Amino acid sequence: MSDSFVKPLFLGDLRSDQLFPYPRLSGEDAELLGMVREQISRFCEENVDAGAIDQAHRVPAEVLDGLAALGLFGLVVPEEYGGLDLNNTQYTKIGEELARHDGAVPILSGGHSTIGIKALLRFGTDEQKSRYLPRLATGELKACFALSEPGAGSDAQALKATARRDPDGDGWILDGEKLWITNGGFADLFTVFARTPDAPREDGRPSITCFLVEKGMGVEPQKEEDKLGIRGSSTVPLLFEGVRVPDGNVVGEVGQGFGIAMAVLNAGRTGLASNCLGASRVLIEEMARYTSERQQFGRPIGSFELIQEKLGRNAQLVYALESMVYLTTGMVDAGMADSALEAALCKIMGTETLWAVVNDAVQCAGGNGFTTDYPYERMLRDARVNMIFEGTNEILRIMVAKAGLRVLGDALKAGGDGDLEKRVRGLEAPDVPAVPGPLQVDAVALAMGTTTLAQTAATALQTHGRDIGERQLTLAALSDQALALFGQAAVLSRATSAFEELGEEAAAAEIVLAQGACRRLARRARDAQSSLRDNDHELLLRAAAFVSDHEGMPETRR
Amino acid sequence: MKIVVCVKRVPSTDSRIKIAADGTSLDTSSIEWILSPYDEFALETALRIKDAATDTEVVVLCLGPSDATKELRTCLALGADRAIHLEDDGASRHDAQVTSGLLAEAIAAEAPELVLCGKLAADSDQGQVGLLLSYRLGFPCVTEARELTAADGKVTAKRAAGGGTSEIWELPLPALVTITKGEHEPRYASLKGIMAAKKKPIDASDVSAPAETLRVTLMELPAERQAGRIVGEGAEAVGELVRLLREEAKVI
Repeated sequence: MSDSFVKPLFLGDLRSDQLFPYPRLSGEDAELLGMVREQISRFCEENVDAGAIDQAHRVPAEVLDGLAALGLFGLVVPEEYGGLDLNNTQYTKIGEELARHDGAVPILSGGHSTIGIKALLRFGTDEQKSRYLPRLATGELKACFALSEPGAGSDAQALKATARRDPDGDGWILDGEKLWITNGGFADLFTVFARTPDAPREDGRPSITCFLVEKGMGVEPQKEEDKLGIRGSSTVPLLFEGVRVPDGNVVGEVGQGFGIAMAVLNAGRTGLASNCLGASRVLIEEMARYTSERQQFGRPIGSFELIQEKLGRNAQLVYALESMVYLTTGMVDAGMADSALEAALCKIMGTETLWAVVNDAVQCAGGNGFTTDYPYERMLRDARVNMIFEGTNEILRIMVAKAGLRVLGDALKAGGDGDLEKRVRGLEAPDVPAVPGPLQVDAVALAMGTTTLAQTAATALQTHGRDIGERQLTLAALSDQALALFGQAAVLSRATSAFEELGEEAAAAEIVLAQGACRRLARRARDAQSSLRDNDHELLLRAAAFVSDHEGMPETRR
Repeated sequence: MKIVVCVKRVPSTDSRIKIAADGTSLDTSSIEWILSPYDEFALETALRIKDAATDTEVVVLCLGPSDATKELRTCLALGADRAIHLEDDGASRHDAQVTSGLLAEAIAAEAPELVLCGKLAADSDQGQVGLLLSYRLGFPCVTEARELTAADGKVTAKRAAGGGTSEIWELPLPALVTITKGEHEPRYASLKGIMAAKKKPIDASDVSAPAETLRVTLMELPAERQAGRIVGEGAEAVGELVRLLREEAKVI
């Protein structure tokens, strides 16, 4: 299995063979995960005080040392370098566990393992790995990933940091500034991306190179940012002034750094999604407890439908999110090479689900939810950044749709004249995946939704042609359809496996969640699609133009 | 010295307990399993003896379903040298007579100097197995030790007696001691320990239990607790509170 599941959806192809059975860890892998998770969970329970970390704006050194001793910094490092060598699913589940206890700790962990050391792991030489990985695995060295700059956020390729050949030696001299660097305040090893104009690329694209820069080479972390949430995590600007980096610290080929950065980020987004999953699960537990204890009108507020609606809806969303995340990590563990779209959709779904859950949790707790006596306000603040970093959800929506349309464009080139016309008129629906009786309606909806996406994508290409890149509302609508379909597929896969393994009775709760989740997602897909048909977009854009022209609300009668 | 520590896998103490449809067993579908907390103390006690005398061998012994390898592997990660797993089918429940018989057989084959057990298992809460084992093995036994040290061919156990006093016992070896919570919190398994545990042996064998001598006929959950009530505020509420405590709750 090496192909993306999501990309072919844009062609109307539903690759059911990739969905079943829902991936599960082998006995041995589950055992190792259970052991590591149990230790980390117990340690966090006894030592991690999320409220105190939020107030102190830092994770205490004892906590970091304790987590390091448990192996937190070596989770994905190969055994030969002293790490635990967890697979994608195991690692992702540890992130979920960490996020149950605190907002900052999983970010710190991900800053090291998901992005900080990943370029070295995937593209480094054996010599570089033996030089750094053993100390990175124990946490003696902590890592971070430095790509963003003041003028290069979503547009990362616009970065300006520059490494010139060192006229006096064999290495490079690095100058520039980085921004929003997670773990930057205490990291010892920095994965830094900089322009290398002395080594231009043949294809004329900007030459960007990935460097491993040790703190001691002259990295200067600046003042910690004062943030809305995840206040315990370190987020700093970095300054590089004439920092000498030897040739031996170039990761991969000179000039190929941007591809490395994207590969690291694209593969890593399930980690963030699982953080959101862990926090969402805790919040749902909190909501269940609070709403069963809080009495108004002589009964628990959980006995009112408008509270039940919040518990039920969020449970459906979280079930869908969880299914998507572990379907993706399972596919990656089974050898799927390109998980960029699946991981991006998990990130969008995860961050937006958590935002919805935490918003409802605050609402259920009423005035209490608004005070610092309860964890809700902190969790709400912590949740917000997820929709911004590791690729804003806007950029990811564009990325998913463009990638899908590229696949469609390639297919059209191969298919010759008339192919687009045929697709616009509508293709035949793909085979309905084989699922147990109670899920059949939803499996049909998935198959039909796939056809609808293919038709919508073809129509968008026909309508907008080369201009489609600028039609972001259309692109986002396509992405939302793809997200919904991937979610429905993941849910059907998981619930089907549960039904087959546990039987109808034991899987009853799961089937109810699955049905609800599928219908909710299908509705989202329909909404996204109808936004294209109605003139929503035109009205939106005209309203936006009024606001821009008037630098605020346009003149209206008051 | 060779120490055998008997360990059991039990439902996590924060699991929501549900009774299965048969009315005599737990619904295990949504239960997280853990090492029984008193067994953790027993293992910690053994590991502390090993810390002090490195030629100590710590063997963990477990009677339980095949899934219990996770708990055994954790014991190995914490520092035990090897594990013996008497695998049952997971469905049958053994009374303390049956359990102690199966464990005693395995222990006798190991011929250890010291056997440690948690004072009771966190699920059944009976505290019989340690005592029955000592009887079957013919070992002297001290129960509920808070602290245990080994030196010069004997062990010294400290246990709480009535009125806050402590008793100190010396036992000749071989001996059996059941352990309760003392001063030392169980350690965490380290990264190194977890890696090492992957390579440590677990000696698993199937056991078929003899017929049970006791049978659970019915399990029931405690009655639901009534919601609390605020009687009033300040000094004027005291009279009413005392009256309610005396007449309604009948606790004073």
